[in-house]
Amino acid sequence: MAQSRARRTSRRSWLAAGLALPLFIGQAATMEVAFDGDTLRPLVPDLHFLSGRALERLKDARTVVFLSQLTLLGEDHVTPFRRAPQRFYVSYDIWEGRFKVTIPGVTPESRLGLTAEQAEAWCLENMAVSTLGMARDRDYWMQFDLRTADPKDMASIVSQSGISISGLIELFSRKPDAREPHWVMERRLRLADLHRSPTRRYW
Amino acid sequence: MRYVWLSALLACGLLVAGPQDSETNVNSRYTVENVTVSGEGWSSSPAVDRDHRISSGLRKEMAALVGEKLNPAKLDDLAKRLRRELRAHAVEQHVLRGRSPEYVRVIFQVEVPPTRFDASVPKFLYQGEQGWSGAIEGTATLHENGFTAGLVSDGDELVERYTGVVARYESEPLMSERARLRFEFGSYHELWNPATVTAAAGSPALYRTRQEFQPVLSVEVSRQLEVSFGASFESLGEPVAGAEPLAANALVAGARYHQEIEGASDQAVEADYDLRAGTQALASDYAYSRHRWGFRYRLTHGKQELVDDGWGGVILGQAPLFERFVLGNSTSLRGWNKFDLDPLGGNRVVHNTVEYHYGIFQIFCDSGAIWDGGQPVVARSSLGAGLRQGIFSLALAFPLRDGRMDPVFMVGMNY
Repeated sequence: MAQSRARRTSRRSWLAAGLALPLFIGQAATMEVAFDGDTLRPLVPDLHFLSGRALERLKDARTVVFLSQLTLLGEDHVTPFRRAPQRFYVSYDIWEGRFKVTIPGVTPESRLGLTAEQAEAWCLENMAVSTLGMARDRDYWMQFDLRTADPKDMASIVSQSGISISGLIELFSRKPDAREPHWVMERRLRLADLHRSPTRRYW
Repeated sequence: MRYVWLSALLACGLLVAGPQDSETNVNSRYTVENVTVSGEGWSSSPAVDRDHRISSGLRKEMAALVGEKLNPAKLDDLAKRLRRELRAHAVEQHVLRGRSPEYVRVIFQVEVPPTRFDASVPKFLYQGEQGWSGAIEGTATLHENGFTAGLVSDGDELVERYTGVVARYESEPLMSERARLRFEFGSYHELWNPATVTAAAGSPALYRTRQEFQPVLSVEVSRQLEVSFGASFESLGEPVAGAEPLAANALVAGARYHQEIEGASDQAVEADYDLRAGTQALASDYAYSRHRWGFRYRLTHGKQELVDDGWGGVILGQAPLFERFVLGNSTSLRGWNKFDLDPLGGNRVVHNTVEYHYGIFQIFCDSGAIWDGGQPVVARSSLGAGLRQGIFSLALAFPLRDGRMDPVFMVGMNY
């Protein structure tokens, strides 16, 4: 009984789903969730964010910063349980026709000579949220948010210790610029229902 | 200790700013082959051309990119400044493969809206002796054709204070962008200083209104030399009550030479000559010729700038008052009162200004003489100091004369 109540879709969920619908309509991709025993990762093979305006800027030799955030919400679809922000600096080699992706940090990690698909896959692979403390038999919502960042926004987000959560919350709460690409997806999940899968390499 | 804190703050600032573009952008290993700025129907290469559309400082920074490793963040900064300077709608930057491997070409694409409107204050000045002068204009630009209308009240430039409306049309570039046609119209009400009225007693030289119409064609002969030709039609109303207006119609011609020498210190040389010849062939009531020539030299080294500006003029024949030369205003013999020097203006003049600027500080020394042909020549000088930032200026000028020191305060812009 409790389980069926938990699985029942609340009015808030319908409201959130309704608000997110236009974003889903804009993006044909659908999200699956991979679980490797410790972390959850979004699986969105049809998502091609190295496209459109971002790709135009990349082909003009600019660096495009992508900010992602995975958010686990409680079953009420409102209370955040955990957030996992990440940022990717992407550039496109105009002579080689290949991409470079850098994840900055104390020990920055880079991949060179990637195709667009490989670059996208490597970014997605590096978006993960820990399952530590999650109840196996409770419902959660995983929200996936990916957008390009204005370089001036970065100053308020990146701090000495990494990424400023309050800066990110402020950025992700802001109404997105209609001209900037923005992808939002979400999925209901329960750890007990997920198959454990090893980390998948796309490249 | 202060420096430790400063270093710590700087380090934090760098971390907060995120990784440098050179670390994350794969193209930063390529060398810039050339830089081009292009707009609708024009294009220039700052490393080679000295395009007058772009300021010397910005042009030098763009030229300095050539031969250096690509720095996309620097391109963003230059694009922003280019947009501001050219008042462009947008400046898009593109980076393309160069002719040789490992080289890239940078293109700044300038998009100027076909129609735009600008309001400006071409002159605004308070001078202790002459009071306020100012002008305000609105310009609508339609496909590079400029239509300007404005209001002016100027008691500084001429013997008279003229107040009225101005209108101007400036054509789009003609003849392969080398020529421009310009029509100016002005209608003014005149106010005369009591000293001028007294000096002109019994003479019909003073007029209450003045209308002018001046079509001029300017041609750029080379990058350094521009010449202009045209005519000036002036109607001087009511020289005496009830009398017919007098016409002061003249042929106008001019030449301007400009040369910049860039190096460790930038130098600029300008020379100009203007002729206005009132002739009965244009149904003028005044027959005269007015010659004015000038020379200007500017030496800039870092924050320091030295300027020497000399000019002189001669009027032959009987010219209307608005054509006569004036010294003792906001630009010449600063600190002197033009009505004390010559309330009717003179038909002979020589003047030289030496200015030294360090950052926003300026000091200047003006010297010159104004007289009428056949009269004795009296040379006068003045010293001054003040502040100048861009178009804004504030100065206190002291006329150098025996026994008295009456400083004159000036503040304003574009004078």
